[in-house]
Amino acid sequence: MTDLLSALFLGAGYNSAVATLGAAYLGVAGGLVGTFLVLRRRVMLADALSHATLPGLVLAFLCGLALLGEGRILPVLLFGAAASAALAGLAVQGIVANRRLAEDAAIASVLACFYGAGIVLASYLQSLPVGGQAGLQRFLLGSAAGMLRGEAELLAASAVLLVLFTGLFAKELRLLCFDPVHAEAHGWPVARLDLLLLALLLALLVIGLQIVGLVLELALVVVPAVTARLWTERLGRMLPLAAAIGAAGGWIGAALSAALPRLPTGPSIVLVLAAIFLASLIVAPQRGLLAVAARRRRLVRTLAAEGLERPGSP
Amino acid sequence: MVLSSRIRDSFPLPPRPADPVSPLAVAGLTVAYHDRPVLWDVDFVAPPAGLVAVLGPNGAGKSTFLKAVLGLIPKLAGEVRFFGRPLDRKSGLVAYVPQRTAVDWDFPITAVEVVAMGLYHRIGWLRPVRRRHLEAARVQLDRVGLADLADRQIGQLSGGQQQRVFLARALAQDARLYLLDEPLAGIDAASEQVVVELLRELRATGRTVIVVHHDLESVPGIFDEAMLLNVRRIAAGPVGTVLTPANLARAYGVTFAPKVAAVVGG
Amino acid sequence: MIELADFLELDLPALATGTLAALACGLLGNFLLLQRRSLLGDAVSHVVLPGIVLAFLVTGSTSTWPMMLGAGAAAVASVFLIDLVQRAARIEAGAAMGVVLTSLFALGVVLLEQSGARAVHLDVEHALMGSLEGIVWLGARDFSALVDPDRLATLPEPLLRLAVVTTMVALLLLVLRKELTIASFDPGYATSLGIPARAIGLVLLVASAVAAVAAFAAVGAILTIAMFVCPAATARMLTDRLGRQIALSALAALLAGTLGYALAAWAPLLFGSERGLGAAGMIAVVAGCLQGLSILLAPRYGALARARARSRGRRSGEGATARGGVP
Repeated sequence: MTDLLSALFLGAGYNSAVATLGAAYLGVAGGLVGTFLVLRRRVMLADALSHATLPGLVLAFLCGLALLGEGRILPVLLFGAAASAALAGLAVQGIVANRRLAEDAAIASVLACFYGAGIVLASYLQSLPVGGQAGLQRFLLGSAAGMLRGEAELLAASAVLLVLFTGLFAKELRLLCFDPVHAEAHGWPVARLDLLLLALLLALLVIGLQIVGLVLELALVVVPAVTARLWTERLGRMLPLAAAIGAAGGWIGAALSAALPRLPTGPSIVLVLAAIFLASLIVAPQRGLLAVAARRRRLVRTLAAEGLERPGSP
Repeated sequence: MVLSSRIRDSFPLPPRPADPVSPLAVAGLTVAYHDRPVLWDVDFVAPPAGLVAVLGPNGAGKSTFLKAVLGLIPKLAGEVRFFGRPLDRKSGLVAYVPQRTAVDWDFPITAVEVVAMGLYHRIGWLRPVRRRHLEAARVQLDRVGLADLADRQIGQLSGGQQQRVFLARALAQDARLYLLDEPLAGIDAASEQVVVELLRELRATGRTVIVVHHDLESVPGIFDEAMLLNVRRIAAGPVGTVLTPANLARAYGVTFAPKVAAVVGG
Repeated sequence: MIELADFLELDLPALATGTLAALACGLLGNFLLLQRRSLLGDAVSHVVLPGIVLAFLVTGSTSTWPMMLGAGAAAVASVFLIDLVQRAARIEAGAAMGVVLTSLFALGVVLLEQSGARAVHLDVEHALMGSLEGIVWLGARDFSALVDPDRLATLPEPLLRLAVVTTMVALLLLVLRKELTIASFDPGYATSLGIPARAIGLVLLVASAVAAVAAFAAVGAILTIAMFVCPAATARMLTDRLGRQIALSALAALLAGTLGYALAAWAPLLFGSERGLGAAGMIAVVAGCLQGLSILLAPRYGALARARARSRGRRSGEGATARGGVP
């Protein structure tokens, strides 16, 4: 318990504190980017892109090994991850542009094939007589504890930068999601804004790899936004709300993972987010299950009252 | 494309004896999505034979009316009777023609295969569609003037042709009551002519056809009766008595807010 | 060099298992694809993990049937949960799916790590990567084993399971083809005709869950998705007839399974490496490559054919529709 408290208040060592802060900022970025993606109805794209980082990660590791004699160089790994995720994004785009297969099929197939390629490469890496392959494991489910000091600092700094950058373009992205036709008619470069949104997503996913892990990063994007949607109808409120929920999930989840044994960071963050979602689903004032049930009961009562006045059936 | 009299003569619909009970009697039908009422206390009685238009502005609950009557979506209250009894779907007495936009026209299926679906309730569970079923389906496609296109994938047909395929499927069912959702929306003049002619033929053989329709102008030329909907039933009866300026203002004028809207805050 | 005994003991069972997994999932994938529910394969294969872990925690045993039941139940429950979240939160299906599948998978991982389940032969890595290579047929030394009932009875369990499941899936499609078709194409009309489209959709999902569970042990959670989507999508590019699509998808699944395994197991030998590559991953890659090829080269809907049709249309001065028909 005291472990948990100290982790929550950043007292569990420098690395852990930086990682926890980084996870919180990551949550903020996930909430912001996710809100736009949910409104653009493209949220499952995040699943394909995050899984598609795997072959890039392994290739980068292999390149580092071959050229520099050391596989675990974070900037190189992240560059590889970003490159292969971007390639996956292009593949999805290409399949959808052909118009024969729907976007869901495009996303599912690209996700699985890139991931499969990653596994093939990983199996090759494992057959090599060098150490350090375990360093890749943590990218699957995230591990704040396994981070080196420099890695934690890089993560936190890029998460902060990502939040600032997303905030900078919030107005334009709002326009894109709210009324793309109108935006296009008024001379906004809608296609380029879509690309910007994807670039932000890509950055988010790559930065989040070490904390959340590629298997579960989708949650970082979708859960805060969907939870915020339960509480409000207005985009202006949805953005800060999603950011706050993401921050809470990242912070508490990372702290829990640091304090408790055998709790990988990614699943821990996702479960905290899921708990917030579940509570919101039940108690949210307008859309919550309790509120809807109450209003429906009132509707049925009104109906019964009217039914009494109605003359008998024909 | 125009129906040849030969085809019609060789496949006449047998006339049915007049049914003393209405094909469709609805009382107090109420439907809500979540807590928002879409239909409120709608009564409706269909004539034993004839063409009935269901009219109303967008979002008035016209399509919902058909779906709720058929039990495709749950109703909050109300009673629906077909020929004096609750709906027995397997009897095939009631044919439903969904909106054309409700399905994926890229689906890998040919026109004749779609029409053969109208026979599925007769083929029975787990049995395959056989050659004779497809032959029977071809006959119905011929009635809507599409015999030549029977083996085309449905995505290669025009919108009007697709609508006629849907109609042929309902004809294959050989029902006594037809419920059509927007069959005349966005189709070419030739297809419209075929569809309207078929509707009249159904009426002539004693069928009742209920059509969700959006074009008020064409109503008097096609339909015998009409129901004007906007969540509640505004008016119903012979077309002349329904389409009065007062009724239309009530349906299309100021947004009709049932008093429940105020109660539930929707 | 490949020895016969090695082939029978090590390669054949793995190859057959991978191919059957591709076949079972690939056949069902046809209807998932047509219902635009390909991502449900994604969801179902993710929740297999928490299902297995929960079944272990409840029964305390690692025997096959409780785990299969647990996984199947979790998969079906997840489908209901997705539906509930979608309607309650009033969001699109994709977002609801994202919430449910990540939450349940995270739950599965945490349960696995926190409980004693990790000590037994369950672990996350296998769930994510698959372990096709672990499937061996001990004692099969020559071809006579293929006709020897005693030897056949010792075939590895995942292989037998998948053989049963694949047969059941094929029978299901054969018997319910008409019902699955109408329920996929026009559920409203189907229901109005007394054919319960929702129930049939559920049958499809339960079958998918069963196939995913059976495939899971061999190829892992995520590659199961490739099996669900890629063969069907490959076939979809090539034909407009459902019967042909199903047959072509089966062919693509067979090809992906055999070619994928062969590449993984034997291609490294050509380069003088003794260790094979991840076979499950390679099967997914081959399935994806087949799909990519068909997207590029399909005679009518392929990217090249469409580009050619467009340029021809432009030359003849009329806007030819890229879809090959009237929209």
